[in-house]
Amino acid sequence: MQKIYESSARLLPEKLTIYTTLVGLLNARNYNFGGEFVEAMIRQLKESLKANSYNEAVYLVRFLSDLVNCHVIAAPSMVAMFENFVSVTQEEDVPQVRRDWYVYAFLSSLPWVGKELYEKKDAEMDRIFANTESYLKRRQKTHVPMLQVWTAEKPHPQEEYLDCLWAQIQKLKKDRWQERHILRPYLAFDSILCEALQHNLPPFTPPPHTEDSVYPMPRVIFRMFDYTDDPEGPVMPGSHSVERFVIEENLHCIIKSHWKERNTCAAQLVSYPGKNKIPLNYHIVEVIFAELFQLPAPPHIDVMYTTLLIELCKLQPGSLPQVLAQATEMLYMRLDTMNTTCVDRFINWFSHHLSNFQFRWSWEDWSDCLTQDPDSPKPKFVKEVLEKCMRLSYHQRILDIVPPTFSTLCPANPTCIYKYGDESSNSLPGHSVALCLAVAFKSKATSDEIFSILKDVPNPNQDDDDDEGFSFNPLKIEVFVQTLLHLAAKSFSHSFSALAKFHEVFKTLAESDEGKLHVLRVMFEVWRNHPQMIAVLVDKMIRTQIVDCAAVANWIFSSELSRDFIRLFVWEILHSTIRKMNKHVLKIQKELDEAKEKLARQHKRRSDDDDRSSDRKDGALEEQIERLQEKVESAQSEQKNLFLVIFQRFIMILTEHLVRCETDGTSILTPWYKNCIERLQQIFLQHHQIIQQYMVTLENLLFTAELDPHILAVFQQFCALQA
Amino acid sequence: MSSGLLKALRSDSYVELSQYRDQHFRVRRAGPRGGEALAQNPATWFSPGDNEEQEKLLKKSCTLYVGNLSFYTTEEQIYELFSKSGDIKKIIMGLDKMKKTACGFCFVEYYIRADAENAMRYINGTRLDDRIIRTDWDAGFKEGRQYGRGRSGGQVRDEYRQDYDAGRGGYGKLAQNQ
Repeated sequence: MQKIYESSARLLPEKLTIYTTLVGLLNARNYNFGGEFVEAMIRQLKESLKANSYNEAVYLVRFLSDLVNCHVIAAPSMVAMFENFVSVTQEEDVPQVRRDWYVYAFLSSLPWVGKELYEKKDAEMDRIFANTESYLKRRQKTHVPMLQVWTAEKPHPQEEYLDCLWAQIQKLKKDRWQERHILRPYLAFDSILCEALQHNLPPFTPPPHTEDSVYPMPRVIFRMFDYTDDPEGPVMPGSHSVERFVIEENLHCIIKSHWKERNTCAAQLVSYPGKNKIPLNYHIVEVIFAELFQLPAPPHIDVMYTTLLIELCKLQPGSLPQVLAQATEMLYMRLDTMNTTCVDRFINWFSHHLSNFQFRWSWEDWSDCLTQDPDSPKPKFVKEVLEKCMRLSYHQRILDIVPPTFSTLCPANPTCIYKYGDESSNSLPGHSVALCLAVAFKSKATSDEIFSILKDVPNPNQDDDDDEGFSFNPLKIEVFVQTLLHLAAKSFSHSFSALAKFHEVFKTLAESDEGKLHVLRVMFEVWRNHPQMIAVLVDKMIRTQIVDCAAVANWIFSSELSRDFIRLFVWEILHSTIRKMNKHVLKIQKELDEAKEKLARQHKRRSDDDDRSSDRKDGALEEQIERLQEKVESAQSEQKNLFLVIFQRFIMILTEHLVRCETDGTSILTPWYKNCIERLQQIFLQHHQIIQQYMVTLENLLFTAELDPHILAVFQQFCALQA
Repeated sequence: MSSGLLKALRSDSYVELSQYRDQHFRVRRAGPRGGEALAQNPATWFSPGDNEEQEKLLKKSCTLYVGNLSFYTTEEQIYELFSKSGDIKKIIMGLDKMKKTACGFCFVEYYIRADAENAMRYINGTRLDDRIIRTDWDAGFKEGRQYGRGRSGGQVRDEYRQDYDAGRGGYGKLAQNQ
């Protein structure tokens, strides 16, 4: 029994008051049960805090608070616990995010238990409030701009989460703790419960801060709707009402409980108790987009939200699609101030969503974007959406679904561009070799045969004095890569087979760093109409070690890509590259850890058995561990280098832009600049755990005080996130 | 009762195995007259261990079977959709055994199981090329499994169906020949 309630507290937090009522009734019957239960919850709370499961811990604290309402826990002892929580704000030399969490745990329990605690211990509560208020006034909020979905304050300010919660609790206090939204089953059992003997919480000391402690990141509250958006339905609670907090908390909890089961999740959301008194569909849509657009990352995989919204449309076909369309329209209207990472997610969501509904949309409503600078947010958004829609269907379909006026925003037909293909290419250097290669490829030549054809290709770079045996021959790379990719253009599988079959040739031609860069350049020239093909080829080339991650990073920042620099596919490639690097490091670290464990087990067995033959086995394993250790160090070094290259290149191009604008006297805030600076932010945010390791290097080497303050600000905001 | 409720709290039904088992699945073992019996040849002896082995493989598989595709759906479209749950290792298009053209199914292999699970949770039952597609666990691609097993060369389901499906060659083969 106990185990169930403990699990329910953690796993179904939206049903909290039902379980607390049950515990209350059991405690009224059996005082010892209540005592054991509370003890177990406290133990679990301590464990959650030590295990960095802070979200779980919040629910446990809330559960304990509600047990006060059910006469299981004596109010004064709960107040004492909250006193200890808020006293963490006095701790020195700890991260702000630690102090933040304890304040959050206190404040977020008050909608449930504020009334009871104030009735019993108002003087103490006032003191705790005063301490909380002074903390909130003095804490740093440098991190906020990095986490906001929109930079604009209108129509809804993007408030820092603690500020918003404080305002909501203040209002609740002013309203004398009258809170009508939470279902309180225990009120119906008051006559039984008030007879129960209460328990005192043992004094609770917050576990001390350790090096391994990782606290939740700060958040910004996402708001897109208010009561004006649904004039005909029930009134939406205001942004500083505690009802708004409780509804959003519960809806988030439902998603957290049922994210794996999309039909259950959708059913639970639409059957939220009290739904007739609130515009539930608006709350649901707002909460889902809040998660999808959350920075640094959504709590669950992006595609879950797309499918959940589709399920909701199926469950409420008469009402939800309209709200969703209204939301889409609002998001489109506010693209100018939306964070680039959030725009990416909006693009991916909207295109995937449309593909489930025959791409039906009232594109003419968005004709305003046709007259704007094509690099500005609205036309760029439409272009990217259409490109993604094409990937899920085919080129002609896209031309058919948009009005003719939108044809300028339609993606290019994803065809291959072969430079040696027509008669005018006769004069191009290497043309005859290209033809020769084409014949060879078609007659199923081997790598050796290809090598011998390429042997006679002159090196245009060899005019320079070079006595180092220059191996980089751009012309060889050009004719080989152009011809091979052109012949394999039919499908991804064909291209992958080509890469595999002639892997040896690729490796040889791309041995040097310049070689790797040139392979990427030529590949891009062939496939510049087909960004999806570019992405899969880069992925394959990294995985088969034809190019390395640093080469891809340098290629992305090269002048050849400057025209496409703000296009989404470029950043998808860069982030995918960084992720591959990260996964590679983790994989080798895991191998090393496993080998070390194996050795430890062998040692233990040896001391148990006194077996001398395992000395030999030890040697082999120790050698393996040494090799793996080297591999790990080398991989970590490569990983650090990748990030340094990326940051260095960002600093270079941003500085160039800022200097140019200063000398020209123009505004720095061009669409390109906004995009670029937010892409830099995105690198920090998406890979923050790994970049934390490089803070000292970054501070001393790259993000120094001499840097332009606009660029330095991004770094400082990032530092503030876990400060 | 307690384990049932706890189980319900951890439910993950979209990831569970379906009822379907590949009837051609065989574990490689020595044949009746010595030498190895080919795993995919239905003429070899069937052993109860095959079902057990198939289930074991299904439960740790990173490969999904994808069905109800249009004959015109391309590898690129499948890549785009299924990449939403993770990095794809390989896609193998299902082909008509005679014509060697797409016949409406494929295999999608991921690098890690968790990505395949997310595909089962969020891509299964949604649309590709306007058709609701269905994904199911597969024990792993073996050469030969990319071909339809229907008598006319396509999938078995296209042999017997009575309806008209423009994306899958019109009427079913049997209905066509009537």
